[in-house]
Amino acid sequence: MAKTVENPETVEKSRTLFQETWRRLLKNKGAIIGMVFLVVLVVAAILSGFIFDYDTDVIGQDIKNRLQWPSKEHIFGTDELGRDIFTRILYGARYSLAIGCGSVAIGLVIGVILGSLAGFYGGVVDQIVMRVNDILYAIPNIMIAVVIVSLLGTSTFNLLLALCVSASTSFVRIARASVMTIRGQEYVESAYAMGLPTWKVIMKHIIPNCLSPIIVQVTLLIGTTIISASSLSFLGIGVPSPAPEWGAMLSSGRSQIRNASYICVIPGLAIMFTVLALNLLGDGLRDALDPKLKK
Amino acid sequence: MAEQNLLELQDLKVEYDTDAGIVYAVNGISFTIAKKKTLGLVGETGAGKTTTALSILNLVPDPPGRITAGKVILEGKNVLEMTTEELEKMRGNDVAMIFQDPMTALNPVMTVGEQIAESVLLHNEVSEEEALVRAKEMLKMVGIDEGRATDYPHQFSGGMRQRVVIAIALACHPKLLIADEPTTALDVTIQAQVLALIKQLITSRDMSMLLITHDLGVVAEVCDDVAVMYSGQIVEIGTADDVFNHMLHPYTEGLFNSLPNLKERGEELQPIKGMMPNPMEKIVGCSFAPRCPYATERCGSEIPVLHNMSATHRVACHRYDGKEMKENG
Amino acid sequence: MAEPILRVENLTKYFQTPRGQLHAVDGVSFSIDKGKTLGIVGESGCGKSTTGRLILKLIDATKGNIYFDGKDITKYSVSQMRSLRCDMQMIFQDPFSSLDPRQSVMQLISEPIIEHKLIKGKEAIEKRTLELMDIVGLARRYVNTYPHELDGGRRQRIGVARALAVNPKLIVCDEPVSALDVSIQAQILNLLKNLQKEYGLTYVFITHNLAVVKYFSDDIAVMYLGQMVEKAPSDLIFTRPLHPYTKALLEAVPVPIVGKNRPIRKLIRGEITSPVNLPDECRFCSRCDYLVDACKTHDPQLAEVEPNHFVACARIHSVDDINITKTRPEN
Repeated sequence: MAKTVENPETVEKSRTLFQETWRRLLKNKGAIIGMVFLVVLVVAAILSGFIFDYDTDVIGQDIKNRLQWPSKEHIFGTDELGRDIFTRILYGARYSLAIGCGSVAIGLVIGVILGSLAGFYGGVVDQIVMRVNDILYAIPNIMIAVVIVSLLGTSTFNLLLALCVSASTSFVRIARASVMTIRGQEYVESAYAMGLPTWKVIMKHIIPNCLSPIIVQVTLLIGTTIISASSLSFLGIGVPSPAPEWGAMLSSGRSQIRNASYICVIPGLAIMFTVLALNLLGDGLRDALDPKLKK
Repeated sequence: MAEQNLLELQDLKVEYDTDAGIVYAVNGISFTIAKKKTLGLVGETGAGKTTTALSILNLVPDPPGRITAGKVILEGKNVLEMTTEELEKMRGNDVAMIFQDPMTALNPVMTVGEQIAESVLLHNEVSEEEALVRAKEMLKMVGIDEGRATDYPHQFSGGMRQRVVIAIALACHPKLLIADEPTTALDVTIQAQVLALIKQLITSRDMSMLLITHDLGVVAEVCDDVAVMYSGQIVEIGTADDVFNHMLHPYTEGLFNSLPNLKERGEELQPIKGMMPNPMEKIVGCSFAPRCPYATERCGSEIPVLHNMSATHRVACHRYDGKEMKENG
Repeated sequence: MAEPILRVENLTKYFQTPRGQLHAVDGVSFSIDKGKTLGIVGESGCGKSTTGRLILKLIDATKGNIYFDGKDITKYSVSQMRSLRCDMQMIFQDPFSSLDPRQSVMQLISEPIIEHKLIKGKEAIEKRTLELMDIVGLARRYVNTYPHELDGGRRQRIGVARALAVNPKLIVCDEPVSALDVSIQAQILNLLKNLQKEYGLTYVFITHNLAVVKYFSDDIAVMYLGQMVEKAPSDLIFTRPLHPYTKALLEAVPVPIVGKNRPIRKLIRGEITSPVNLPDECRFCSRCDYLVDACKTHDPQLAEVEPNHFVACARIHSVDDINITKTRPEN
């Protein structure tokens, strides 16, 4: 008896939806550019933890070399305290990525669970979840962050916490809408007709099919979260200095904007390109996952 | 008698350029529709019927579609060579089309009166009030109370929406109506009503019609002539009597044999074995040969062309080689 | 006489809507013997699909009783129904939305087997899945493909295989061939018929297509606005339809005959009325050409007017000899 399939004919090669999506994604040049950039950034962020020593390379001051324009020695120049900007940018990627991915990940889990429950059960559960969600959604996430940070103090972790509240609100909506649509599909009915208990129907059949819009939202939301984190750091209530968070670097460069504008511009560009790459990837994913473009 | 022909398709070929490859949707179709006559275009999904209909109006989406060869002669002029202006003048005015799904064919935010009037205003120099009056007349003609001109599509049932669609199509007195599966989405009793309405309107307005359907019962109800399509080609064409009562092509035979309508309980249905070929593969020989109970070697290598079996009846099948009607007596 | 495998009494389902109470299914009663097929016919809104789901308890009934294999399953809980799921299965209408797009053919067909622990061991389960594919005529080479890669006919075969996987006694087929091309329809219908002979299956065959139901069913029930208006053996329905709606339905079917043999049709007028807040009169009376006084005063119930032939029509109930109903009132 053969391993999986016993037959003389060849088994038809097939593609899962995942492989199909990947293939379509690769046809999108923008998405590829975005992916490549992000991969490089992630690698740089991880490696910089090993290559650089935090105290000497990243925050170590070197006053006599302050305000040097970009040169062979310092590719991005030095800031007002003599710190090498290139090192700080690479290291700073860790913060942006960690906060962006971290808050979105936590927000995802909370949001999907609450949204699925609301979408599946409807009625009172739906009403309560959605009304609370609507309130949180309506409050600007910067404000929520300000409140949480002023209650709990300024730290990277608290910033992450603050941002995942607003991240979860969008996932609640998406998950709820997806679940409501899929709940009415015949294959869900088929699962019940087969005798599957409700929890299995949700886990096996409903949630896996909701993933497409959620995946797209993840990439786009990481981008906006990075901007929010940078904005809050810019305002001084995000990642505390002297950490090389890009928004904080932008902020501290304000005083030198006339004679050493690169101190502001470079972190700004770093934010911009990262978010752009995420958006390109997100758009590419949305197109690749669009069922209407199939066949 | 070319003047008698309202529409003539000559060797039309249409392709679609997709991710997965080129789809050969229509592979050389020719037929004519005379004035005041109805031609039924019969075939299953993927035969190329809708693409043919869109080509007549030069509405094949480009990209990914491409009309690669052929002519569509409407009253002497080739539609495929018309300028945008000429096309806009022709569409809705000389040739109108109704689609399958009445639920999505109407704009949900406009009243039905406005939608009918829109067509009138587009092709006639009349005022808005006059157009609305015409719209109400059209509603009456399709059996809807005039007072409902101010209602919105969602307030109508499927059958009534399809009547509105017909009203829009006929508002400018087109000479040719293309109906793409106009009753497939409707209930049987409503289908019967709408078909009767279409039939009555066609006759009273001296119109020609191209009716696209997969339902042989509908064809028998409404059509003078019938063309059977398979895999982008016409395999048999003739009057309704020719095709229904003297069918020739094995595919036509197969279609009738798979109908439960005409069978007794207990008799097994005779489906056509196999499936329609993949339209991405270029066909060698007769496209039906793999499924044909009468296939010979020749069928696998030579594409059959349409032979004249009588003044009206033509079939593309090697079985009839040598049996064609002679040109002169 | 053996107990019918399925018996339904006064099955009713009302939905509460903002506009009022919607009578989706109203007092439907019938029974089916083992190995037979009951065809339920009607147009949209008649309640036939809802009836199918009520039988399988996919929806809870408002009133009425369901007896399966002699047992009253009306009040069975979800867990009690679980073991019965192996006896009663469903084949769905839309082959495009009734299969989870993320599951391969192997997973789709083996899911019910695994869920009910009918076979142990991965190899044995896979072997059985392949056997089922053979039975339904699906080439083995598709075993690892996904629904979106297959056409409607093949997907529907997967649906049949899924239903068969649990060795059911009764299968409710909800418009199983309506979404398929004519030549593929014939293939699937033949398959279903052969399976019935081979495994002694009982079918409830729901459809709007009269030609298909005639070919397939032993008995036919006609539904209109939630009620069963006529029920009789298949031949009788077609040779002696009694209810005006049945007659209209039969006449409305477009017949693929050209020439002298073409039947002349009389068309039904009007549209289906609303199933919400129904007054106490015959639901068909606004479209009926054969009204008598009783039609507007009470809602007729299904009654046997000749052996095995049930009709819900005040006029039919009031005549002594139903043979006179064959002529039209004008004659």
